[in-house]
Amino acid sequence: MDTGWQQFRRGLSLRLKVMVMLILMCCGTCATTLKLLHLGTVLPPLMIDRTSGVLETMRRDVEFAVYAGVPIEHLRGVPDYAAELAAETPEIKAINFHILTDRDRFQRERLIIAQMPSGTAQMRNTEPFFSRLVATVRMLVTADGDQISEVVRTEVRAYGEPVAQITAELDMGYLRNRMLDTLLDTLIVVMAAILFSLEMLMVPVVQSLITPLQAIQRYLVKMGQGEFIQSGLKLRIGKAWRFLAALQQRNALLRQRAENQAVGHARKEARTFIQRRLPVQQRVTEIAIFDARLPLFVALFAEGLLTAWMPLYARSLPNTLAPWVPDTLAIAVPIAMFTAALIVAMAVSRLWWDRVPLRLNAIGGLLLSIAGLVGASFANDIGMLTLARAVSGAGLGLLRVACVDYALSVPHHAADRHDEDGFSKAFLTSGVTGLAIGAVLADWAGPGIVFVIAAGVSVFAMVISLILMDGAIGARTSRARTNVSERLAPVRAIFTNRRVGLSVLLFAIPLSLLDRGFILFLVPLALSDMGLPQSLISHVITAYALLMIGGYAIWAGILSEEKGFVIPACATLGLIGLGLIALGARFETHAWIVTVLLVGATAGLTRAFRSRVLTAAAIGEFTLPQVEFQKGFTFQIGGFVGPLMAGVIMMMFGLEAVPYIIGFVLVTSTVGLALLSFSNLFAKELSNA
Amino acid sequence: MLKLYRFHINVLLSIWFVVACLLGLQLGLNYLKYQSLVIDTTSARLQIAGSTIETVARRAEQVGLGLDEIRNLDSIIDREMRREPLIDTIRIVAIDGAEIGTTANEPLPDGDLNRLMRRITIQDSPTARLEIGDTLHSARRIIDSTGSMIGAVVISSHRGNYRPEVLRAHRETLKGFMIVFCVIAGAVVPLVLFGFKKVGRVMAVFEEANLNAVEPLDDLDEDDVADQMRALIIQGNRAYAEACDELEALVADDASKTGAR
Repeated sequence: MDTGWQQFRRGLSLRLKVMVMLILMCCGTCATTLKLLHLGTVLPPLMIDRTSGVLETMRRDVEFAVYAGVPIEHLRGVPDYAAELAAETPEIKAINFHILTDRDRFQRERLIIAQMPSGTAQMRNTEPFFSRLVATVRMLVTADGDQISEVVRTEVRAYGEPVAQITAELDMGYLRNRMLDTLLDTLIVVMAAILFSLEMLMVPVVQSLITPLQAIQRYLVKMGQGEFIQSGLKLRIGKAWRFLAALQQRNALLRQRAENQAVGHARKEARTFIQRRLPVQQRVTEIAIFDARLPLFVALFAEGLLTAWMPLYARSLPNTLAPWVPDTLAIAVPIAMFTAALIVAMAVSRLWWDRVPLRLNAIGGLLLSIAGLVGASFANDIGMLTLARAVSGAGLGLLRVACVDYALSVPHHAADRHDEDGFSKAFLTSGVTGLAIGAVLADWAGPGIVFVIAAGVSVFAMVISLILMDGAIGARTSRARTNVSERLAPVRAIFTNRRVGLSVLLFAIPLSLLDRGFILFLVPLALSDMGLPQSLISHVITAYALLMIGGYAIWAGILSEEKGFVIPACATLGLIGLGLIALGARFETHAWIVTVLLVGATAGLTRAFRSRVLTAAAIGEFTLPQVEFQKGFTFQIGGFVGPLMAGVIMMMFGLEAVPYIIGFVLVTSTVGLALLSFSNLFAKELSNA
Repeated sequence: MLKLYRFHINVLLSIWFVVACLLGLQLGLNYLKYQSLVIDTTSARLQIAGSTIETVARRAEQVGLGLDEIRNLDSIIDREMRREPLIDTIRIVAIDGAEIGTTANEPLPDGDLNRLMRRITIQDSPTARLEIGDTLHSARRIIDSTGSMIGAVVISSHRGNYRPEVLRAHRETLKGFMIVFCVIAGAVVPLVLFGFKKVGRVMAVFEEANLNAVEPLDDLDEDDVADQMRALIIQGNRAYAEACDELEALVADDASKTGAR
C-alpha cells in the first residue's frame, strides 16, 4: 500500500517538476527570442543616433577651429581627439577624419550612396520575422563583428563648402555583447523562476491533492478495521473532499442510531458498540510546516534580491558614519549590522514570545522588514542605509524565529520528513533565487527600484502569512508556554555542547566566512576595482549561486542516503582554502572569476556536509526544526563576522590580503577537522554525517 | 475519456500564473532596459549642446575669465536651445550651486541639484544623467586648465520627448509576449490532462464510488493508487455492513427484551 502511495506521490511531484521546467524553458526561449529580435530592431537606430551625436560634437569643434582661422590642413590633434571620443563611446569602433580633396568632392555623392553592406538593416521591423531571426542569430554567433558593420558619416563645412568628412564605424560587437547580456540575464531569470515556482506553487498544488487523499486513505483504513471515526478535518471544495463528507455523513448516521439505542434496554451493549466502533472524535490539527515555510521563503527571497550588489551600492554612498570609520570598513557596516540586528532580534524576541501569537510576531517582523526596505530606498548615505538595513534585519530575525517556532508547533505525526527537508531547503533556495533575480534587476533598473520591489515582495509574504498561518498558534498553545531557557537551548548548545560547538566553530562559521565575507562581499568589490561592469559582476555572482545550489541539491540527496563523505568534504574545504591563498597572489580578473566559479561548483558538497555535520551533532538532543534554528543562528554569526572581518583586513592590509586570511581560516579548519576525525572527541559526529 | 478535475484546474492555473509572471518579469526588464537605452541616447543628444557650451566656457577660462564673466553666455545658450528641439532648459551652474546662466523660469530645486552635482562629482565620466519626476537632467562637468571642476552645464528635457518611443516599442513587445502566453497556455491544457491521467483515475474512483458495494475486486493492481482506494472503499463498506448488522442485532435483542417484559 505504502509503496504504491509513495510512488504515486513521487511520480506526481516529478511530473509536475518536469512539466514546469519544460514549460518555463519553452517560455524563456520564446521570450528570449522576442527580446533579442526587439533589441536587434531598436538598438541599431539608437546606436546610430548616439554616434551621430558624437560626430556632431566633433564636427562643431572642428568647424569652431576652422572659423577661428586655423586652416583645416593645419589642424593638429584631430586623430587623437577622434580616438578619445571613440574610446568614450562603446558603440563606436573607430572614427576617421578625412580632409576632402577636389577629387573627393567630385565623388562625394557617390561615396554617400555607396554604403557598406548593412547587416543591421535586415533586423529592422519592416523585414519578415524569419529573416530578422536569421540576422539576429547570425549576429550572435558571428565571432567577429567586422562581418556586419554600419557607418555613420557627417561633413565639416567651412563657408558653405564641404572641407572634411568624419566617418564613424559602429561597433557591432557592442550590439552582440548587449544581446549576449540579454541572453544570459534571461537564462538566469528563467532558472530562478523555475526554482521559485517549484517552491512557491508546485508544493501547494501537490499538497492540495495529497492532503485529502491522505485523509481519505487514513479514514478508509480505520473503517476497514471497523472504526468509524470522524476525520476532524475542515472539509473543502473538490471531489475528494465531497467523498470524505459522504463517508462522514454515513458514519454520523450510524452513530446516531447507536446513540438512540444507548438509551434503550441494551444500553450497555450499545455503549460498548459506540466505544469500540465509533470512538470519540480526535481533534485533528490542520497546521503544516508548509504554512510557515512559504511566507519565510518569500521574505528571504525579497532579502536575497539585495545580496549581490549591496557592497557596491554601499561603496557608492558617502560615508557619514563617523570620522574614525574609514571608507573601506564603512562598506561592510550596513551588511554586518543587518546580520547583527537579525541575531539580536532572534534572541530578544524570546522576552515576549509566550504572550504574542506566532502569526502576529511574523507579521510584526515583516512590517519592520518592509519599513527597512522602504527606508533603504531613500538612503542617501551609509549611515541611513545602515539604520534601514538594521531595521530590516531585526524584522527578518522576528520572522525567522516565528516561522521556525511555528514549524515546531506542528505535531510530529502531521509533519513528514518531506516537509521538514523542504523547510531547510527553503532557506537556501529563496536566497539563491533572490540573488539571481536581484542581480539582473539591479543591473537593468538600478538599486533604488530593487529596494521597492523587495518591499513589495515582503508585502506579499505578509499576505501569505495572514492567509496560511493559524493565528491561534503560539501564545495559547501549551507548546509555546515552554520557558525561555528551553527555547534558547539550541543556541546555548553552541557554547555549552562540545559536539555542537566544534561543528559550528570548525565547519559552519568558516563556510559562512567564505560565503558572506569573500563571495558576497569581497568579490563584487574586487571585480569592480578590476574594471568589470556591474552586469558582468552580477553574472559571476549569480553563476556561483546557481552552481552552488545545483551542487547542494545533488549532494544533499546523496548525503541523505549515504555516509562516509568526511574525507571528500574536508579535502574540498581545504582545497578551497588553498585556492584562496593562491588567489591572493594573483589580482587578475580571470583568476578571480575562475576561482569564484570553482568555489561555486564545490561549495555544494561542503554546504550539504556542513548541514549534515550540524544535524548529526545536534539531532540527538533537539528536534529537526530546533536544529534548523540552530543552523540559522550559526550561519548568521558567520554572516556578521564575515563582512566585518573582510572590511577590517581591507582597511589594514588592503583588498588582496582578504583571500589569504579567509583561505588560511579554511585550511586551519580542515586541519582541525582532520585531527578531530582521528580522536574520539568528534569522530562519531563526522562519521555519522 | 480525459476529464478535468479540480486538481488539473489548480495545476493549470498555477502554471498559467507562473508563465504570466515570468513573461511579465521579462517584459518589465525589457521595458526598463530599453528605457535606459533611450534615456542614454537622449542624454547623448542633449550633451551635444552641453559640449559646445563647455568648450566655450573652457576657452574663456583659458584666457582668464571666470564662468560669470563670459559676456555672450546667454546668447550661446539660446542658440543651442534653438538647434535642439529636445532641450527644454539649459542651466550653467557654478561649483557652489549658483546658477550663472539659465533659460528656465525657476531655479532647480536644491535637493535635485545636489543629487545631480554629487553624481557628476563622484563619477569617472564627465557626464551624468538623472531622471527626476517628468524631467531628464543631463549634466556635463566644466573643467578649468588645472583639471578641477568649476561648474556644470545642466540640460533638461521633458519625459514626453522620448517616452512615446519607449511606449511604442513596449507595446510591440507586449503583443509578442501575449501571443507567446496564449500559445503556451493553450498547449499546457492537453499536457496537464495527459500528464496527470492517474490523478483523474483516482478522482473517478471517488466520483463513481458505490458506498454499498462489498464484492471484492477481481483485477486489483496493488501498486495502483486508484485500485488501492477502490479496494479500501470496498473493505470499508464491508466493515460498515458488519457494524450495521451488529447494531441491528442489538436492536433486535433490545426489542426481544422489551417484548419479554
